[in-house]
Amino acid sequence: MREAAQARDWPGVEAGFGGLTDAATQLKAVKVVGGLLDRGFLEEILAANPVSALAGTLLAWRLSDDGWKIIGREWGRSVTHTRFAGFHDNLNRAEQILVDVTAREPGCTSAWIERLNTARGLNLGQAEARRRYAKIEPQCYPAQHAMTRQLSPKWNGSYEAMHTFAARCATASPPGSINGAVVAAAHLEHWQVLHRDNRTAATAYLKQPDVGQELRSAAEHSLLNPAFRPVPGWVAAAGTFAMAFSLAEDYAAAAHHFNALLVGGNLADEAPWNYLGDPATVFVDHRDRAFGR
Amino acid sequence: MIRETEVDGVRTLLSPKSGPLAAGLTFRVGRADETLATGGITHLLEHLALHHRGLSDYHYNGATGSVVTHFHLQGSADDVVPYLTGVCDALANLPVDRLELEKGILRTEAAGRKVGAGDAMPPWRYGAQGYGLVSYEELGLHRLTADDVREWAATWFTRQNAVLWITSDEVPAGLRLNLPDGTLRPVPRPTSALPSTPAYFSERFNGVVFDAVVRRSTPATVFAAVLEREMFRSLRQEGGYSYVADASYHPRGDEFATVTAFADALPDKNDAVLGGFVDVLAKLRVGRIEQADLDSVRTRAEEALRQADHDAIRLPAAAMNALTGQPNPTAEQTLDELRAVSVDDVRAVAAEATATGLLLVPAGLHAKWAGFSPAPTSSTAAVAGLRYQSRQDEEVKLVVGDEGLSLVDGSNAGTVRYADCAVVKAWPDGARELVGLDGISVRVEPTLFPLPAEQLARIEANLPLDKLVRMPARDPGAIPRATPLAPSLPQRPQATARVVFLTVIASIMGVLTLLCAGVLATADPANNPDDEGLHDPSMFLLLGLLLFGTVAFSVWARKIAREREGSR
Repeated sequence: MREAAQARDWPGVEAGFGGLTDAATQLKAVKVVGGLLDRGFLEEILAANPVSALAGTLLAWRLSDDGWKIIGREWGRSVTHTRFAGFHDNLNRAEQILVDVTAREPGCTSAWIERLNTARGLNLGQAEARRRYAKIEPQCYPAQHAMTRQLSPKWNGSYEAMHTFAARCATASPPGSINGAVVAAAHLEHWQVLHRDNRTAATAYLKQPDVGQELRSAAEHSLLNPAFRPVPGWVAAAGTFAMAFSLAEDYAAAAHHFNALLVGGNLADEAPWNYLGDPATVFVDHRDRAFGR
Repeated sequence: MIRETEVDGVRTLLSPKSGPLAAGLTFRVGRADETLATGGITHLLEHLALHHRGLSDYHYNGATGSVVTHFHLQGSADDVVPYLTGVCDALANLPVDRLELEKGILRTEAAGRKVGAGDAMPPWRYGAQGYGLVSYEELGLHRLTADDVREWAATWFTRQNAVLWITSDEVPAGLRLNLPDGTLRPVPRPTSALPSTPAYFSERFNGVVFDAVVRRSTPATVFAAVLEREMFRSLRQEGGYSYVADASYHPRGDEFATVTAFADALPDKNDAVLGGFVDVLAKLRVGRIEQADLDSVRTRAEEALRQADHDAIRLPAAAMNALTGQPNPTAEQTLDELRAVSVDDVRAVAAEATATGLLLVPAGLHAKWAGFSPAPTSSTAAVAGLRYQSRQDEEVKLVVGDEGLSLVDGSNAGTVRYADCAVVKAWPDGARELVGLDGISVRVEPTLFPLPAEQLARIEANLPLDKLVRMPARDPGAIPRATPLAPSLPQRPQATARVVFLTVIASIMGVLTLLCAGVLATADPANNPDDEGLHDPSMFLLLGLLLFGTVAFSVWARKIAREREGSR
């Protein structure tokens, strides 16, 4: 599919997506292909195939990604008015394309997950985000991760709502599934909010015994469970645990997850490492520290 | 089957039905024909024409709509003649001695009237004129005279501008309609207060209201019914966000109809109702219309059309069609059209409705994300004229110009030009409120703005007298009192001191710049290109900095001086 995208071979891209049934794989493919194809090409494809859910989702993802790049990793008052306007313009366009896609194909999970991200960026409200989340099949890890971010105080949610949601995702998931990583994702969101104003407080938060206990239980229920089998999305889930343990300075626990990624074939996903800067550098730094190098 | 005949030159529609007889006289006049300053004149006339009926054994009433006014009754054939003769006689000879009394009754009626969810929409779509007037207060009641109502009756309540309808095979014996001659009046042309659609505005309201203008058609009636079913399912049954979720279809009088949809919400579910409604509309727009919904809507409509009394029941609507020049299809024709409605027809109406849509969203939310642009809440420009700063808020300024007035708040301006003024409300305490045809208003509170007497007199002289409505005295508590702004008074001397200070700095820098330039010039670059001074970059840097400083401080001083002028 990567080759098809690089060759701007639309039928090839479509055929590639046709073979993907899993939501997490589809979303990953949207990110990869959406990143390889330029915006002009995607605009042309959608104009030629106005009812294509795939063309709509890819263009919307591209618009949205470009939008998030405008504000970068900054948030709140540090973002200038002009940059916010550019961000909003991109997300508004993406959202309007996605409204059409989901109206035509209400089962298009990747479009709904993208709509969770636009809802968050455009501040459409907590009840609206929950309405969108309810359209997605249960136990969809990328959707749960997006919803966790939505429920963070950073996006007008609350710590309580966020952690309650994450805990429910974990308990409702079968042992060995990757959904337990949502608990780690919630603690990382919490860490991020604290980190903006006070770095030591953020680290201290993750080092609390009950937070550590929650992280370990979630890991034992999911990725460290004997029933665990690598499923699409597991690389990001393992990275999330690794980053949470690493920031909590529990390097031994972090090493478990880094090791699993290494054994799995030296794997890594951009998420969640892109939270902290250039994902490759950040990943290697944290892994080296965990491995005691 | 509706049979058409004539009574004293008045078009008459007949269709029998079982049970008590119903009859009515409908005129092609309504609130959309009034102006904001004469608002309520039709309603007042309706009351004057009916007052003599007093207590009777039959049920009668009058109703003033947007483009038609009905006088109707339910009773026996014997009741029809005295009732309608009485209405015509009263219109010919209005009991104007009751004018003030009926005005009082109308004001009481207005105070008790329930405001519907859709009432917020017309002013935003049409402005303070034409079809927008239905939502406004009946301000004419404060100024209408006996001559005004007589003239209104002679213009609109004529035999050519009326249709009689009776749920009977024949016209009751002895019925005479003594109406003056006139002409059949065309419906008003729609005005617009929206530069573009789809548009939205926000108000303190729990829920969303949507209205759209679509071409009158059978598919459009089906669309409204399908929309209601979809809203009910999505917003109430699935989401549990709303209790009420309904949609309706109302012909406007011309070739168009208004589709209005409304869903209520709990305060913490407002955002989800808005999102859910946007998705409902999108679902129909892309043509994902449930066949079951279409079938069910069609079945219900067919059942209504097959009712034995169907033609008799729709006589008032048929009278409105006859008066507005719209077709009156038979039940069979409508049935045929209904059967022919396809999913694609409904999709086309949904697209038309979205394109012309106006959405009310709860305060704090917006609909830009869904492609709706904000409806204007301010004017594009302020009038030119003298500015007076509010005693309450230094950001607020009243601009008194020759062509009108503006209220400027920061970067927003509300402007009413005298030429485009719909009404001037005048209170005995001196306050004036101008409402423009676009619905934007400017209120002059003499207690809030330091207006000299001659300026007040100038405003008064410019006001359009034919739009002036003298309002009853306000409760003293309702008259605003300025709470003086502490920092506003010493501001001026402070500003003056700053201007002087900045000017001095700018002058010093200017002198230094000249000196620096002088040093460079004495080096005589033309004849001594190797002079050391000319190769020293710091000298040029200094010159640049000094020049920049001079300009910057001059501009700064000028800016403050201008602001000071402006705030006077």
